[in-house]
Amino acid sequence: MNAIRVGTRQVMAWLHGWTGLLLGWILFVMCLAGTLSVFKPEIGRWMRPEATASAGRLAAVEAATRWLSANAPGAGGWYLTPPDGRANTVDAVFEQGGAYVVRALDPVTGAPVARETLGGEFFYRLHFELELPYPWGRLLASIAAMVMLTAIITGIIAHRRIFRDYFTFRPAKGQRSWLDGHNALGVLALPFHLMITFSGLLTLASVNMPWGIVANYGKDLVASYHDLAPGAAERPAAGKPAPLAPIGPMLREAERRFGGAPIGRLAILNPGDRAAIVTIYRSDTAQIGYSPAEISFDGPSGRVIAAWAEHRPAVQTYSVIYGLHMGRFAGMGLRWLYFLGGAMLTLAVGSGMILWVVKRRERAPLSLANRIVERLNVGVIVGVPIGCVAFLWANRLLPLDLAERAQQEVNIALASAGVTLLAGLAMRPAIGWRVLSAVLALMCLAAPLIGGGIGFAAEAIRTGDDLPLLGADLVLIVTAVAMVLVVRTKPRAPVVRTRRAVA
Amino acid sequence: MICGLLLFAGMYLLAAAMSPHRAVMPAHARDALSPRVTRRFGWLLVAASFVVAAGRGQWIHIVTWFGLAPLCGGVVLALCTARARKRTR
Repeated sequence: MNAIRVGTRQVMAWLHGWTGLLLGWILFVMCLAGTLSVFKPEIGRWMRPEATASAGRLAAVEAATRWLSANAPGAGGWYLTPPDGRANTVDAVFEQGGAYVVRALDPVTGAPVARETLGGEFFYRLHFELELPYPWGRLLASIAAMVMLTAIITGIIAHRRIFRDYFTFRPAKGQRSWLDGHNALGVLALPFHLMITFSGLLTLASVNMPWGIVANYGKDLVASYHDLAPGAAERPAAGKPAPLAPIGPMLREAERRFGGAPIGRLAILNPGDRAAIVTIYRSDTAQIGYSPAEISFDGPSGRVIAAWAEHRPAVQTYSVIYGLHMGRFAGMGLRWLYFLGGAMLTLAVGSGMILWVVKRRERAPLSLANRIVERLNVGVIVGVPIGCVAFLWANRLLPLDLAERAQQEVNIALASAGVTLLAGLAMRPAIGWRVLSAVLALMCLAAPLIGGGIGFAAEAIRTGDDLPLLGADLVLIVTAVAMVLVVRTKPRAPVVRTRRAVA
Repeated sequence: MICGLLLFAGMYLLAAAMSPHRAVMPAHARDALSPRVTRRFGWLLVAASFVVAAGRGQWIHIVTWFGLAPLCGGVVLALCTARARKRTR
């Protein structure tokens, strides 16, 4: 019996190691981007320092629709997310010149904010689309999430003293320290790791388990979406112009029907047409299990034409799991706990990848494949954060009137991460860790200065509204300090334990 | 706040009940409480913190409790590590 148990643990440890290695680098990117996405609106505010005006939800939507009526009248649709106390702009997606564009609109004037940027949306999309075209990014992300769930479960089974290791960390002991660190990071926040991985897998269920949809709907995906959200009111454009009725009364009526719950987002189909429809959705920040509810108005007259709220148990169960993953219900304190959990998961993935190499180096000289893994570790673990900070640098340094400015920021972030990856591959790991960590430390230290410096911080403290922006600067400084510690750490000479030495 | 303090105290006692981390407790407390009693007190406080969170009647407090657990555990881990490093110097 005992032999079976030991054998099972060994198999699980083997599976844990290999699953972690195969997609570890992608998981590292996903975990880091997901962790940063916790503060998506706050990152957006940091990256749009010119957007200092603030207005209530209703006033902001009215301003946005006024501007869109004048500047995007022939669009097929306008999709708006009003400010909610975290973001201070209206996030708008609308058709312009035959393509859909994403813009942050000023809540007072309704015009696009001067600094065109994706803001926190970049990290959010990177988290599950990995900057790859649809559906490949989502498919890869869902496979990685499956691998992560396998790695967590096998890690739990392989772990003999799971609770004792909860409080154990023995620093400066080579492989032992890496193992302790990896175990502690994994075990301390184990419920969070399980929840976030499982719920993440479920959010991509239509990609990784499409058979239910295929069996019931074939290739008619529109029909499946319609059944999932049967309240959506639609009709084709009539081709006859008609002005949109004032949107304020529609918003107030929607809030009244939602029982005082705030509005979440709006979809205005066929704006400026006689067949225009304004659909208003309830906000999902008020509860964990988001129960979708929506009201559709006839655009020209402003009268209610459809109202719907989700009550199906299966969909509501999904909504709870989805809500837990997104964490939109969380206040500032709980959001920091989400950030902490995400950071621990990112570090657990990173330390696991380093442990793979450290463990093998202490047994025998590294094989060519493991030497490549070691260098890739340097390039990815330092390169991805360098790409993230380069994104912030580009936000401040690129000229405001640059064409496709938001995409240029993304290009710079990806190029920086790519160059760092190549540098990590080219340098000896002992040097690579220190040089690239020093670069990351300098970039993190300089980012708050480039971002606005002391004047920016003083203004944030004075107004009190912008304290999350100081939080962003603080995270950058803490990262810089951590990287300085990495640079100052004296690399240990690899000790190869031969059989004789062990005996 | 009360929930977090109870959870931290519970984690601290659970760590103190383990032989490698026994030294985190002051000497007189170590003499007065055996590891088994320390462990029971620890679990009691952890359970009490969960009851306080659940008793507030909203799911969000239970989610917060699960978020506080790694934070409290991390602080106790840091205390144990710092204590061990101090001893070896």
